Amino acid sequence: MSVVVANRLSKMYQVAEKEPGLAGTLRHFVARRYKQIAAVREVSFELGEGEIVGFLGPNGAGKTTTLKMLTGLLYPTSGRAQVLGYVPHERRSGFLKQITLVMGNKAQLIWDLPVLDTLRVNAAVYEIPEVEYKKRVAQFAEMLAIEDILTQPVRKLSLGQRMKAELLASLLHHPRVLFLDEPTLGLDVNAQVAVRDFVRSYARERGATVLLTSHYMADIEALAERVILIHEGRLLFDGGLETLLDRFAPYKEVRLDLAEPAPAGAFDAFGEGVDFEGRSVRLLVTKERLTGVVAALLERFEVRDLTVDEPPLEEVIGRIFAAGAV
Amino acid sequence: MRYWRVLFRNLATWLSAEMAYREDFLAAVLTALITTAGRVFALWGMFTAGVDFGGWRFEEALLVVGAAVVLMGAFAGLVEPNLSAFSRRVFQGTLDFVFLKPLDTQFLIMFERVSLWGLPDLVAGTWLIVAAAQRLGLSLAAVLALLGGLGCAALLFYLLAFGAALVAVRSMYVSNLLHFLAAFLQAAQYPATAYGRGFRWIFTFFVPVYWMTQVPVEVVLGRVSGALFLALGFWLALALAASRLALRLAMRSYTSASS
Repeated sequence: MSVVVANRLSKMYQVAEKEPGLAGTLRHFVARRYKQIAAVREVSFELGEGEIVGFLGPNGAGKTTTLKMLTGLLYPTSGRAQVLGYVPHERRSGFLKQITLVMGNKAQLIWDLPVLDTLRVNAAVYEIPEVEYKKRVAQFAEMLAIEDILTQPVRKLSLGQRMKAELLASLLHHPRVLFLDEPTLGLDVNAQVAVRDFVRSYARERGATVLLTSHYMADIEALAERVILIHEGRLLFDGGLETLLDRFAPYKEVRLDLAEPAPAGAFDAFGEGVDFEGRSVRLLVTKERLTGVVAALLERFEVRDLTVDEPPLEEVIGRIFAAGAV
Repeated sequence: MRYWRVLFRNLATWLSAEMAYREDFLAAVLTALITTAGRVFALWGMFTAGVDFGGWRFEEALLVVGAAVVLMGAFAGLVEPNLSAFSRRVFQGTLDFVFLKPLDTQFLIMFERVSLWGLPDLVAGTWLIVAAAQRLGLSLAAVLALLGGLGCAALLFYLLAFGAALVAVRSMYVSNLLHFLAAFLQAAQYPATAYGRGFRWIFTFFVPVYWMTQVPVEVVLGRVSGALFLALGFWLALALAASRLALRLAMRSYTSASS
């Protein structure tokens, strides 16, 4: 049985339009103009119990709006949402006790007080008995390696420590469905890994269903086997991560920092999408040619630095459009 | 029981946050002492200058001042911090976390925080009421009835402020609204008969200042019928129903701050 159901889910926003400057302000003051923006258009998908699904899309694609409809924060303009058998926007207590929403750019922790104070408030809200509360805090704090910071004021913590504490506060009530919106936003690599490991362990131990949005492909690769791709409010792809990457991103991004400037066109033979500026070069190389191309580049040019990475998600999505896919 | 536990935990948590800044609390105590002394001195000055308060004696008018100071304490301690936090949450998008909690949203918004800034006024106002009641020979039961009536009045005022904040939050800063509401509490510190007929009408029917301080005092003084307490209860039930409806409508059109 599906735990999360989105059936032709749509959300329209009314947004005020105002021209810049004083004249624009005066016109806006006298006669307001609005336009309708379709944030999400007839998106449908289902998530099974214990499934971890990556929800991908560029900025403004409609990821967060979809998440907020599924958590009951927003009323859908049309379509149907169902989570654990509940209609989210009815916001029944039984529903809210079983879900959580973690937002990488928003904090629920009380800024001036130690993390434990927020945790105690949450324990009271979710009626977690004292003994159980202490057990859960100890277990999660150990998993996240934040035992030492629980008594420090939140304002004194680093971004990575704060996000780990946010996760602890958000999962204290053992939710069955996790909606994670950019949980690793702005974190350094070590903190990103710690957050991923924690989410994976929690989901495995408790059989929780996870819908995860992220701009970092590494998050999705580490956690999700299935991805849902959304762009301009429309669902573009729903399937295995490997299928997506093989079909739409069968290449790697190679970046070079040269010791000496090279002539224009010197890199055309090595890959496509060459971006050349002074001593910095960026090119896309198919995975099959990668080893040979890197060796050739190092042999032919004096290279100060070379990095190989996944291409940016926006670029992958751009290629999906170029290919006229889905 | 869960609501009491959450209320206690919220209040304890935010008191802890407030107590982190000792100088602020000392400033609040000093401010309350000076302003309360100023209010009593002004009232005494008006009586000795022969201003007619419509038959009110000095001690009786002092009860109204005490009642207003108690309400100002409730405003500074509960209304102002919670509605300011509500406004901030709307603009920062963290109201989402309140909506996601499996508890009544109105309760969570109205009783999430408490500020020590209200405590000195609560103490000073209660002290004025007790001192005036002693000079008037009122019983302990009368004082308790007055404080109970003031509790209802404070809740009525809070519900009206909450409803106004729900309407105002999308088009203006709630801080402006709070200044506006605080000004009405200033007006509530004198018997309505001290004002002209037009203001009296406004303070009775438009902004229920008369109901908040003068009615509870007049009931315990035996000047008006105790049935007016029932009328206060009626206003309270009406304000509660209206504020819940306003919240439900606001939540339907809630768009949440963009991320």
